[in-house]
Amino acid sequence: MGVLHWIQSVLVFTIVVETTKPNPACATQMRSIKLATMMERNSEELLRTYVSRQGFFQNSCTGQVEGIPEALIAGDKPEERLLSMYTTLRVLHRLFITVREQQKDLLESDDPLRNMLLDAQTRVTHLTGNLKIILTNVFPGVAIPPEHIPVPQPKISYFKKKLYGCRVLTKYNEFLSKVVQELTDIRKYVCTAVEIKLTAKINLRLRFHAFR
Amino acid sequence: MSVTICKMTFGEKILLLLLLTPVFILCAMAGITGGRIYPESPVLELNTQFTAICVMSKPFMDLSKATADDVFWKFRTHKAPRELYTKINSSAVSITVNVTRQLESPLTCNVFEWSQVPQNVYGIFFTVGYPPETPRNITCMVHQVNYKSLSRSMQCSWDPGSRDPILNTSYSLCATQHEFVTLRHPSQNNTGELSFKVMPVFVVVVVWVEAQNQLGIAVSEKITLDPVEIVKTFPPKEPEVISEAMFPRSLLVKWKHPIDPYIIELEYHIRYCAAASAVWSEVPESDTDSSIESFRQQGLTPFTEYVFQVRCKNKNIDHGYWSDWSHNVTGKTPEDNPTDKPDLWREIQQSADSEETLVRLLWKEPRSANGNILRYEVKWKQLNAEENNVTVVNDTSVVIALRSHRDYSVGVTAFNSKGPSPTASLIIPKIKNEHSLGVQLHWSLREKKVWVGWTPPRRTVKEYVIERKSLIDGAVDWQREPNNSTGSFIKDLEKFKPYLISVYPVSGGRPGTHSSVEVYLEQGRPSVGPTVSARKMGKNDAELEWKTIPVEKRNGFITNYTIIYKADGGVEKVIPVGPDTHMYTLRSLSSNTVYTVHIMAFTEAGATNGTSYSFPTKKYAPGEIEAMVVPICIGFLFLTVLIVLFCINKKDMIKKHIWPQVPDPSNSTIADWSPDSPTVPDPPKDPKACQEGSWMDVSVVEIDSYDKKSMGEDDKASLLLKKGKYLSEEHSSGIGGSSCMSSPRQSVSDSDEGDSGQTTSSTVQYSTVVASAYKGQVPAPPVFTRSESTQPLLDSEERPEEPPHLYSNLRSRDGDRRPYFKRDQTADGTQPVGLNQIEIVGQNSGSLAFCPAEEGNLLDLLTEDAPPRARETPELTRGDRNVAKSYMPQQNGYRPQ
Repeated sequence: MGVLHWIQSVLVFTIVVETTKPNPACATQMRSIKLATMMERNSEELLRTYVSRQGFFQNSCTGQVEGIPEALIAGDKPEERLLSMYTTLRVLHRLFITVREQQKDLLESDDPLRNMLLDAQTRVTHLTGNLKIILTNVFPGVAIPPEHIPVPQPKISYFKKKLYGCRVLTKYNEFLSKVVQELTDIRKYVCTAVEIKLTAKINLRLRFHAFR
Repeated sequence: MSVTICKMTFGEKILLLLLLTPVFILCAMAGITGGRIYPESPVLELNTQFTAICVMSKPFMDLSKATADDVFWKFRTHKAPRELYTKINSSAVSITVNVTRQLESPLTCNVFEWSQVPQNVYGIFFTVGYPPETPRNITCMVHQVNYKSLSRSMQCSWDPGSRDPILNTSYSLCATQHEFVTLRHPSQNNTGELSFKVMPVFVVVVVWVEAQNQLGIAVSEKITLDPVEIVKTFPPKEPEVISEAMFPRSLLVKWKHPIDPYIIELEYHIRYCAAASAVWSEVPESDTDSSIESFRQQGLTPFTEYVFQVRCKNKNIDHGYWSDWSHNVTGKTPEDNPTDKPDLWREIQQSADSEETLVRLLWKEPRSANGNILRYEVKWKQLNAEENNVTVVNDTSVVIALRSHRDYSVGVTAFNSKGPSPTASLIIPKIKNEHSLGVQLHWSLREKKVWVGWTPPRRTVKEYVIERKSLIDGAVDWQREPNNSTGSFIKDLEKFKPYLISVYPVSGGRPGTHSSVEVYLEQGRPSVGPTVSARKMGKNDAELEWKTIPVEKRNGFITNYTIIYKADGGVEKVIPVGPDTHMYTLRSLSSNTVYTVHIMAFTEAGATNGTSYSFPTKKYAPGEIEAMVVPICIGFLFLTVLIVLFCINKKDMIKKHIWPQVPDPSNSTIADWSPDSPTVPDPPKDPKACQEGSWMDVSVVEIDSYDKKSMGEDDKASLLLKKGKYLSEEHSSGIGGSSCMSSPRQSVSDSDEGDSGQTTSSTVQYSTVVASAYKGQVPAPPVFTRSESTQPLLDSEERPEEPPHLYSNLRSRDGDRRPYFKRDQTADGTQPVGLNQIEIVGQNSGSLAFCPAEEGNLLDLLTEDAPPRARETPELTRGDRNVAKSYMPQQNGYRPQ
């Protein structure tokens, strides 16, 4: 009886330690929400700056452009939606590369807009990396698609370049607002999933000890 | 073998060398190497074992006939001990050593060729050192660039370890994010910087440090961080302090976030202090750990200026970096009622002997004045009386007159713009009826402060008031101590200044009997020395006196004075005297000597010399001169009396010697003096007189200047001369007297002598008057009339070149002079006649020299023509100016008949 009590106390201690350990996936999820929120705010400003700088009206940037995905998050399950976000962000990353390339012809080298574009592109990379960590840690079975090498874009007119960039940034802004919402929604699931996994481990240990 | 070589002569050694030289040359030409050492050019880790193997080549062994037994190792010039060697085979030998810093490179493998000559086989250079230590404690920081972004670089620092690796060691700061980007930046040994295109935030970055040298590589622990967690932001923006009139004890502090809250959520930390204070008070962090932009600090003192500072850090990180403190912002709390009463004390200014006592009430502003004190209301009344005396003052003191032998109650209330303070009360008991609660005082210096201790009185004491009074300017201050204290440090004392410390036990608002003590915070030498002066000086002593040094120049308690004195060229003497002595008599001094004295005043800290003072001692003691002078005077007086008595007794004899007796011409009778009588002078009546040499020739007459009778005769003669036109012009008048006077010798005037004046005024020489015929004519029987003149012979007779004087006594009215005839000389200076006579010649127009000139003319003549000498003659100059002269200038020759 005394031995059983000792075992139980050890188990309880183990459980407590396990639950208070930092949860990397959950923390990454939280970071991702903050990062996405910051990116969304920055994207609004970026878009405003771009429109103002290129002489557009914001409404003129709407419309479909070939190669620019719709700002939609597909899938029913969290991992599917996470993967959808991940994939779209990868595409947006490639689009940013294109836009920055096109803007070299449109902007001076020291134009703040170019830095803003670089900043946005880099942040996309960071968010993508975070999502990859979540997918890898929480949904290890999900197959993450490989990197696509960006295809060189055909030469287009300056106006089209301007319009292209504007539409990319518009889609980027629209998409980020969805990402923020989606990540917030998924947060509970991701963090809970980690707790469930921990609980499962603890249960296994309990059973093991009880068996002994 | 070596011994054999040593025994060889120098010539034999040279021969051996010559024999071997071709062998070496052949080896070199054939490209034969002696062998090798393994490992080659190693880097050795200190404090480890190192083994080197020397392998000789076979050709070398064949040529030199050396074997493994002939091998020896050397570290530079030091031969390694043979016990470190290990023979591997006939051609290989190893050496194993502990690697220390003392091992000197190169390590050489050598052999004895022909078992005699040392020959190097091979050598290696090596270095020693340590592998790098593992860097520890990596910390990184990211700075803010502007409101929305962070810097692109991350500064990191770490501890490289305390051991010097000796070898060149490189450090690299490395980072990865998402396992697909790796950064590696060369850095210093303990600091480095990672540069990113865009500083990642909300992303996990792994950072580590690699240290590498020839002995290995050390990788630090990898730290995982989100750069947003290590941001050191700017201080909060635009801080300000707002004062609200309704809240006199609080201030509102406001600021703005220095960075976009979407990047970092901040928590804040506030500290503040009163403007006059340097000690900060901190607001608990738990009160400001949220993302706020204002805070109301309560519990402040009204009407006080406060300084605030704010800082911030990431609120989600426990160990994030605090920003720097914001710049100072100040605010002043509004006024409030004074919450403290004034600190009231009194100073009795007048003794209780009079009917009225002047009391100076002193108070200090309430410590919690909570505003500007605008006025003080002072009330006093006799104890148990109803009527209050009230006065309002702006100052912190007032003098009130209280009736002696009465107990009074005094109260002071301070007012500011918000209202009054509590009233401070004090009972001023009648002076002779103070509580007998006196304390015994003692004082000392502790920690360079004055500490005053006292023994508590037996009666209950509520508190002690320690009064401090400057003995220089009389300024009074006080401090209060609780009733259980038995001593206190006295505050705000200045060095070198005397203070009177009084301790009053206060009970029931009544100050009791006080005790006082004089103190110095620090003593110094007196600023000036005493000025000494001699109060009395004697022949062998001197009484010195000096004044007390003014209290403001004492700088301490005078412990004693030292009198230092010495005579000119003498030895200095020192006399110490007490501090209360200000007069001292120096004794055993030498008489008629100048002494120099000065006085040193001593305090605990040293001495100061006073000014030197010199004084002479007297030659004679008091009364000594009198003792000498009085007898001398008495003797002189006695001698004088004797002389006078002698003179009186021997008057006649003296007179005879000094003034010989001259016959009085007035007593002569002209009848007896006939011109027919022979010119031979009559024998003197007084044979004695004639017998005396010169006295035979010169008759001296004593003239009584106040002889009225003579004066009358003179006047007659004068008148006669005027009327009769010089009756005697035909005849030389002469003054005869005795026959002695008619000596054939020329009478000589004594006027040439120095005492002529006296002589002329008192004695007269008379010429012999001789009657003679003119040109054969028989003169009428001469009627010799005795000359009325008693005029003495004048200088002009002796000095004919000078113009003749006008004799003043001719017309003397006041009769102080008697006229005399003057014997004149001729123009050539010779005697006018060969006879011993004197003719009166030279009168103008043949007249005699008696001039009828008026008084004025005579005076003019006298003043204009009289020779200087005549004028200088005292008798003349004095009397003749007022008296008309009767002589005219004498012409040459006689007047033609």
